Amino acid sequence: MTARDEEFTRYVETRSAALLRTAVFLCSGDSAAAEDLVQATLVKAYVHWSRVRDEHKRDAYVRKIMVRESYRRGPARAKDVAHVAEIRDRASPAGDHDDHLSLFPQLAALPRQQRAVVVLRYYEDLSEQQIADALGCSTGSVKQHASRGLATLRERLHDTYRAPAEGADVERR
Amino acid sequence: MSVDEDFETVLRQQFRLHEPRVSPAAGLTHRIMAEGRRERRKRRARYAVSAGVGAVALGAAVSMSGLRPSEPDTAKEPAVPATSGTARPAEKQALAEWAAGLPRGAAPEVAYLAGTTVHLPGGAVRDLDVADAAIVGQTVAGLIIFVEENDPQGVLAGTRFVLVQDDGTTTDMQASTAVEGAAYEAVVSPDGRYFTNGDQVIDKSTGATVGEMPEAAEVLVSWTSEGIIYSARGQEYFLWRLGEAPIALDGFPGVFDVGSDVGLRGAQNGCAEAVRIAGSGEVTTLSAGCVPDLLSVSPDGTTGVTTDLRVIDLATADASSLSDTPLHSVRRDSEIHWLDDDDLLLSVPAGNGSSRLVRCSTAALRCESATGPVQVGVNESVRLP
Repeated sequence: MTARDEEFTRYVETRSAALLRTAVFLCSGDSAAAEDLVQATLVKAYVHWSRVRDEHKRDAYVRKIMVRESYRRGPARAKDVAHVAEIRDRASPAGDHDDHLSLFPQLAALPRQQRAVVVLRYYEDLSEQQIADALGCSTGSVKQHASRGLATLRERLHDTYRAPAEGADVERR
Repeated sequence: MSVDEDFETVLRQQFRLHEPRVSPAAGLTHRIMAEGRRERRKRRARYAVSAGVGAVALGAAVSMSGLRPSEPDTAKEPAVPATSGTARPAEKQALAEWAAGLPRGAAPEVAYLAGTTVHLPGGAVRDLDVADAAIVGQTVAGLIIFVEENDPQGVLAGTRFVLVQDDGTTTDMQASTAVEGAAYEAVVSPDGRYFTNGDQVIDKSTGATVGEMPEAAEVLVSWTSEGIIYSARGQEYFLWRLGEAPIALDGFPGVFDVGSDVGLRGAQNGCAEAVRIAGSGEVTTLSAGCVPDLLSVSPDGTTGVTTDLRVIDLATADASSLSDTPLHSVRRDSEIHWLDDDDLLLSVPAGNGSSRLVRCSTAALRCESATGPVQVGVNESVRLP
């Protein structure tokens, strides 16, 4: 095995679980789609691995591939459309808000760019600049997507969650 | 805390609460690297071209490399513009029909692959029973073939090199395919003595490792008569000879056949020029100008063949045809093998997913059939060394 392959193997071993978790959110809870997304992302990363000489930039590079790959796959696939429709149904106002899937249908309801921004901002805790780099857009667009995504989620989750007292765990109805 | 900040806090906590407990599937790295290597093989030419001559020339030069990933079936291709100003008849003969009408000549002088069945010059035939195969080259120890194998679900399971003897017996080689893009990057020396998979250089007459490729080498473009041309970091090209330091080339040098110092380099208007690389790494243009539809150049750099099987004198641009009637064009990724400076073997479509090899003399302007139709798959070609 070449040094390059060893390097890539180490990266996959240490980072694939975290990538998969983010992918699950990007895929609105569809774990099979998330696994496909991660595999496709890492194949592309492997093809271009020699371009990522700086190990500190690898996460950003792979994240960019994953977000764009998720766009490409997006809702165009019949399987995803069906999945989104299914979990949207589960997210009906009369639904069971204790359902462990309750965050996923709300994410699925967001346009893909808003969803990506929300996931990267509030799950990955990335800065606006880092998100802009991943999405290939301006920080202004990131702010706009974040604002709209947040507004949609706030509205949809309004009846589901109450704002917690500072330092307290989230209280669920 | 504002309403927004409250909600942002809630959202962050919800993400933590819903964080999936997942672990990557077993064998993920292996699958990714196998797929990645397959992808790199497909992209090999694109790498070379995009880094060397710019995106505008990508289509033309990718085609010339013989690795164009997808192109319409030849029989459906529109007419190809002529190189001269003279009018050409609109009616063109289908390649399959033309080839079927050729006189039958001797069997091919070199090994070839029809699908995954290898046909050896002595007449031996061996089905490799694999998912896909490609000829790396003929060595003194036998023919080296790269093979891909799928698992029962049809997913790529592994790749390896196989050595095929003249009688059809096969041996797995110890050399790893796990080197960047593997097979298309593996090359044999013009004299057939050495083989490299992009890592070690192996003397096939003794089996000894005699050197290592420079570590930065990513894509082995060809083992020319002047040394191995390879790319590194997707942007830079080098000429390297065993035991010497790599010579940096001035951009993309072109695509070269094994053992030749003559290659093809695409230009911005879809045509190509013949080039020669010197031992110093200097690349000079051989053709009088850029030749439209140039498919291949003879090893001595004097004669070109176009996709519609015209023969071009590269010094004067004079054209003559290998066929009495105008022909549809062969695909730009058609396999071609020069037997000497005048004679070549070319794979042409034979209809219904089959192809046949024809042997043409550019000096006598005559062709003959070297094989009958062999099944290769739709838009595939008989594969030559």
